[in-house]
Amino acid sequence: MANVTQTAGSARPRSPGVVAAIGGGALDVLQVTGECVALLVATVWHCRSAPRHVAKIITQLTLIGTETLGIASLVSLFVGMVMVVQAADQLANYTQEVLGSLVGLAMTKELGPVIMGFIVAGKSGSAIAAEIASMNVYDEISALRTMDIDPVPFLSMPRFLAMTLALPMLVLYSDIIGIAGGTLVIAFDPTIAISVSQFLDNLREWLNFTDIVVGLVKGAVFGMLVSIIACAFGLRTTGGSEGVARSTTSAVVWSFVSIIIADFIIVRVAFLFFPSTPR
Amino acid sequence: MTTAAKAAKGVSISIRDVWKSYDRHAVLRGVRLDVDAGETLVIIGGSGEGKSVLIRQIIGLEQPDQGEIRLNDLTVAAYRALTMEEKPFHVSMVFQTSALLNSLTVADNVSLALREHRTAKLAEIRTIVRDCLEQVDLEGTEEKMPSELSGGMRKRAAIARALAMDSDLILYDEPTAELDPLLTEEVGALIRRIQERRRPTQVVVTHNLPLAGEIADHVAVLRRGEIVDYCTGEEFFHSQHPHTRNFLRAARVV
Repeated sequence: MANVTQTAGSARPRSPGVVAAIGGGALDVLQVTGECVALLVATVWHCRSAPRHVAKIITQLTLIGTETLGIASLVSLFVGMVMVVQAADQLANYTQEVLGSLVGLAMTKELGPVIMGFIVAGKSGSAIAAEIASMNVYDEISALRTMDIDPVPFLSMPRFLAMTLALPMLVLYSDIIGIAGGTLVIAFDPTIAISVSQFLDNLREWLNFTDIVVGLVKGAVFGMLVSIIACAFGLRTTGGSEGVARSTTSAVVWSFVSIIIADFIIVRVAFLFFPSTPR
Repeated sequence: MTTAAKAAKGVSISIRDVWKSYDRHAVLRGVRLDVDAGETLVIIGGSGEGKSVLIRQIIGLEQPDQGEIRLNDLTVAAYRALTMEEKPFHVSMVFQTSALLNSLTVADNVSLALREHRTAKLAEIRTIVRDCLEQVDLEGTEEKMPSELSGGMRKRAAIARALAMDSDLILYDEPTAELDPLLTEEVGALIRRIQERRRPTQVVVTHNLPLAGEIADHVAVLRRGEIVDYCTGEEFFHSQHPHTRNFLRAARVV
């Protein structure tokens, strides 16, 4: 009996059960989602003061461009090239004439926006999250607040607008470079039976303006998501340099997941308005 | 005379029964304290006693769980709700980390509030920045980045930023932390000089007892979230309160 009493009274902390852990995780997800939505609303509201912050927006645009353009070129080029190599092999027994439409549509509608979203999330999103998280940890955000400077128009809004503008431009650039990569393989790979002009004719026949616009809209939405998630994680950082690292990693992971989810939603909505019709 | 060199109005502070807890751990336990307009109060206490938490309540970065803090006749919440133009006086804080924005030059840091709130014209801002940097002996550092400054220079630049706002109440969180004795003396002299020239109300949180004796009109000793001793700067080194005596003895001041 004495042992039982002692065990009951020792109040050793118990590790949370599976249900509690899942519940805690779900609550965390809801809380972060709520914070991101609140920050999005506040940021969009403060976009009316954008003309006062043009210099900051241009600085951010330049940063995003310089951070991502090199890697975006390399990745897009090789994605276009590998797509042609893979598809040509699969289509060797059928017809390789559809390679142009395949590469064009895949790049403009899916690969261009998603790859650029991932690259921007990995390079610029992580940089934004780390910068704002450090500012938070080293009291710079508190200092802004003591000066009555709202961090939303000062930090979040310029990054939001810059990324929302930059990503569609990067998507367009990625589309062009990806198609160029595919064209290069067609031109120099002797195992591919079609000519460059056949490839480009097929691309022109199948690729229409709506496909490009849908890709650009995806880019803009991904830009919004990446910037808001990066800023939200930066602003909620606590716990010194360890907290900065945690926030940066979480911002990138959340950005990747949200890009994929948003991609699915945009595709579903786009098919409602622009159903794929046989041509 | 530029804005930065004007005499400040000074702000009285009234702290009444302020409680603040984190995760059910009470850090402030019914703090009561009054600070007269234009005086320098030094808050002394060990690590984790709630000194920094108290000044974060005073400037409104955090809200007390219970109790009230008034700056002149305004509660802190009412003061924070006013726009920059509506505020009858200005409050600023010098953080332990200096909290200069690393992406901005020293001049841009010092003039940040003026530029963001557009309270002065560009030429006037330049004059104010020059004046404020002169007051803290940082002339010629306008175009430097914070990373190019030493710890003491960063602290002085942060003080210049507070001066540029024409602050009537300046809160200092460990202004001499991580500084060598010479730099500590420099920052102490600067706080005293600001007091003599501009007469703002100043609240200084520090572990540094010689500094406290040098700059304080009054000293409040905080222990376990309560003010346990309150005396003038002169009385402080002769205080008979056991905790203050222990503190002084540990610092080898007595």
